[in-house]
Amino acid sequence: MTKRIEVEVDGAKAEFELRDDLAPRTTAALWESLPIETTLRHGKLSGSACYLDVEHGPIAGIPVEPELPVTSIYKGWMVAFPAPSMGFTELLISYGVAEYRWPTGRKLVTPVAELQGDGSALFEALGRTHSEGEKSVVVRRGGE
Amino acid sequence: MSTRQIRLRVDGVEAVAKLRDDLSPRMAEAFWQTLPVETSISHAMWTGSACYYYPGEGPFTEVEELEYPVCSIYPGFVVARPRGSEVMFSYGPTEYRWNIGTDYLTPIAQITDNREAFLAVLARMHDEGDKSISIERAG
Amino acid sequence: MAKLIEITIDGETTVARLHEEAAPNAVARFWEALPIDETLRHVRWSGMASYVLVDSLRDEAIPLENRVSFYQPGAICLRPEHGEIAFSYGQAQARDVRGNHWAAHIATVEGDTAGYLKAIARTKRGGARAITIKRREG
Repeated sequence: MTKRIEVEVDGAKAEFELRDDLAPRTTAALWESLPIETTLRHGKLSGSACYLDVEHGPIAGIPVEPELPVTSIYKGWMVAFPAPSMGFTELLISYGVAEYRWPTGRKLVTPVAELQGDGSALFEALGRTHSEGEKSVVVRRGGE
Repeated sequence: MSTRQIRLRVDGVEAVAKLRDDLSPRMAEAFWQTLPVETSISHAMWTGSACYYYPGEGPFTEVEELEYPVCSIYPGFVVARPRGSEVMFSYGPTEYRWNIGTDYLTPIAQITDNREAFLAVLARMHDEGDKSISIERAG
Repeated sequence: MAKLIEITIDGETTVARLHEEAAPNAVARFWEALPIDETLRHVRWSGMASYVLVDSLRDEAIPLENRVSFYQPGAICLRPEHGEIAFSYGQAQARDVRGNHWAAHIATVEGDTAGYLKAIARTKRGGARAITIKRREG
């Protein structure tokens, strides 16, 4: 049965489906790492996306090789960028046009979750981080 | 307004996809206007785990802008180039490329029903070569 | 005297010359791996080429001698990280999901290659087919 997760930012909530068909190991590690409560910031180089760094749980230690390598971050998708040498994995959520980039160019991430239903409130909250600065984010298992 | 759907069929395997006019309204509408389609699809040779067909003349040619640019084609997505010179379907890891490097296109549909079986048929094309595809409006 | 190989696809046999001087270690490993009877498939990332995967050549210790990134038509190139031998019939480059890469150019077909190039190209639309590569003795 498909697992769902919930993302909450600034009181706005949205449900995502874990895409274990695309990335079974990464999504399993994410599931086992929930709940996550941390700081969400707007990306600087990747377009309309926000990111959170996860330093604890199995997701923080996933292998550096992306399970399904992509650079585009589709609107309403969560992706994972493992940085085991730095001790964390970065999760990003796109609310518009986004592509994962560093100053040196595009880098590969793995898609892990897809928004279900109406994400407009969450997208607005994500977009507000661009002007309002960092916010708290909670990622929890669906139904909790 | 309810989401429009299409039905795709390759090798007797059917899938249903929803139009992504939330991402690419003009290109999705142009795609809708080209249906039904019955044509041959080939496996990609620069883009990875994807298959494509050339739509030729028609409504696609009037959409010049890249409405939602992506170079990665997520598995289960249908994408098109501006002016609709190519429509692609991804079944695995992809990056839209030509001989000169990476390029961008826009998502027009996403498979919602019978995805796994349909993507498996596309994957078989790597071994089996070209196949016929039919795409029609659903419901 | 240069080492030669025979490549047979779709009943058509073509000869290729190994680039032993330019790629001595890579050619030696390839020579050891012969004969090869495999399934030839069209590449998915590298353009106008087909390929086989050979387990015994999947060895990152094989050096990228006579290193190329772009494949010329008729070139036969080895990517040791995958054990992949690529047979180019047109514009092609060593690529995968991560981008552009390098290969060892180990051989080039010679003589009348038209039939061979067409046979390689047929994998694009016609699908996978058997390929045999063996040492040309004598």
